[in-house]
Amino acid sequence: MQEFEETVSEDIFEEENGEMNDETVDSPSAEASVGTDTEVVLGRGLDVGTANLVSSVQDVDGNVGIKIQRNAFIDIDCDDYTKSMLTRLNVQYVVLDGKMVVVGDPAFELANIFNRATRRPMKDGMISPNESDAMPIEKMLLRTLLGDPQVDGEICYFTVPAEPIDAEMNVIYHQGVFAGLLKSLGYTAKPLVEGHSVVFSELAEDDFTGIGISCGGGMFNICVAYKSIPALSFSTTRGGDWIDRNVANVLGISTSRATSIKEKIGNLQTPQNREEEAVEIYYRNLISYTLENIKKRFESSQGMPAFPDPISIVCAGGTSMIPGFIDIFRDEFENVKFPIEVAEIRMAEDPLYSVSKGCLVAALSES
Amino acid sequence: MSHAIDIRDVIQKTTSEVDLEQLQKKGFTKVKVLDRGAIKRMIAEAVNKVVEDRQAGLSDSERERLREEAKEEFDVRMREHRLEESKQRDSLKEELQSREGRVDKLREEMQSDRDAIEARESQLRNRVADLEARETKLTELATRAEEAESRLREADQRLAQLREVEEKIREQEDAIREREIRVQLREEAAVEPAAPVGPSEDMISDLIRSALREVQPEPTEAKTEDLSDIRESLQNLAASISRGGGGGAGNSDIAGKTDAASIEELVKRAGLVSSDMENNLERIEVKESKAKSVNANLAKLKNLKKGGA
Repeated sequence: MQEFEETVSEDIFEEENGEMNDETVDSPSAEASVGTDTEVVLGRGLDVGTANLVSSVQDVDGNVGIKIQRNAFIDIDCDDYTKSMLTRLNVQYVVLDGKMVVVGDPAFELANIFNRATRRPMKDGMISPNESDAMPIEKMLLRTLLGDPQVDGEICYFTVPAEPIDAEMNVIYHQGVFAGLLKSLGYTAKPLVEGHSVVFSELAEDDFTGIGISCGGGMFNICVAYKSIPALSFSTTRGGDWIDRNVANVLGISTSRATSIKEKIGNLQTPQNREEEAVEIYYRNLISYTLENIKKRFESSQGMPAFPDPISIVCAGGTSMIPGFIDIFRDEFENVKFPIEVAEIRMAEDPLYSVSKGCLVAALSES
Repeated sequence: MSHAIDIRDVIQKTTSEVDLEQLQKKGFTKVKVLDRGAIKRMIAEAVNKVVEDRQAGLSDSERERLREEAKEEFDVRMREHRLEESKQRDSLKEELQSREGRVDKLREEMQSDRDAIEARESQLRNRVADLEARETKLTELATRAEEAESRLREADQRLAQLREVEEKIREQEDAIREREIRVQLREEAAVEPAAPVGPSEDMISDLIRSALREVQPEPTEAKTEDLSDIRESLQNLAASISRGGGGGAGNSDIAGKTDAASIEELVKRAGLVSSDMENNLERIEVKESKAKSVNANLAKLKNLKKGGA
């Protein structure tokens, strides 16, 4: 993470030295066509999530285009009829070692129907050691989301997890693999810590000061920033998948089924049955765990900025999208003696796209 | 029906008061006084005289009729009097019963209130006992927490000292390891001077520096466990370079390694395989949506970097 923080600082100072293109914001000079009628600005954002891959790009009119793919696949028996049927049903597949691999959302739906678990290229926020065969599929997914670069070496900021505090995991390997994949697609890949990305996309009104939390499938990523500079970044290896695994265990169902139950809950604060109660319990536990860890890190870290005013906490990411999440977050916050004054706890404007948009802000600021 | 005469009222209305002094002035020194009884007697005598005079002219039948009328009048008045008395008695009785009912009800309510108060008092007594027990427990816990905090502070201090020592050791180890790798490479280069695709010394130095930068965590967050990872990574890197830069690892090996060569190899293989794979991804539309512009964020970021608010 040190390397990245240095990169960000350099970027900031580069702009101060006049190297940043001032016209990027109002009338971008760096434009290109991607084979459609819309001209887009150079620079891409990519959220590399355990559950979803989300890309973002901005056109010359200021509209942000988002593409999203579920980061999962499932293999099924291969035959011509199935291939033709899947194409007609708008289902993506790849033939790998004589097996048909269905990718994206349909994989999740198929797994749910057949009560099987999807295969996941990533686990706990990083490349899964058990799914290294999935790399070709991952590259194809990235290509469908990003397309070819508009110019050779177009900048693409992609998210990486911050150093996890509750697991021994190799962030460098994960970062290197995705940087390599993007490079092989023709992009100049630059990593951005996930929580910092939330700060870029959601805390502009607060002068990029506050706490950005990316509530992902594999991890919760936290970044405390002061005037856009990250003062503290870390992650925990508990996220939406952790909830799914635990709910599946206690209810004796598959994790795909648990995910489905979780994603259909009307309101987390008012569970309607035993399954929903299980989801609520694990959500509360996860939020409480995250807040306690933030508090501990605040208290133990040296050189934390003294915030002159109360700060905001913003939650983004797919795991935060369940109705009632932010209310439960506020509930649990009340139970924690937080070391700094917090003015507001709020949801991101586009929780699922927020991280990707933060990467886009970083990319556009350099293009 | 004749009405009874109020003698007092008649006297009041038909007489006038005269001061004794005035009477004296007029020459009256003595006055005769009639009290109310004397007046009543005089009236009765006058009435009796009139009645006797009239009765003298009455026949027996008229006298009898007069007596009957008087008697009837008396009976009517007596009945009215009794009826009125009976009504008053009934009314008083009802009022009495009503008041007795209210008294009973108030008595019951009072009993109910008393029971509730006693129950609440009992609850409060239990609650006080419970709170006292908790307070005792909290005091014990606070004492233990203070002790634990004190021990924690000591441990933190020791840990900080250890980290400083570790940091110094790590720096020295890295320097020694880099020197060893250089020596080893020079020795191998001396044995095999014409290696066909071996990297130059400068490239190796760059690669090592790059790997060191990548694997070095922030000094403030250095963990003891990280040291073993760093050592392992450097050893892998050294082994990889000493083999002539070749990877040759299988899929299962790649995931466990951290060096640049294995990442490069994995990415290359992903590229090779993916270009040959049959798929329909190009023909399927990816889920797309629009989001709000990020121009405002960019402008703010620029402003902030320029030193604005």
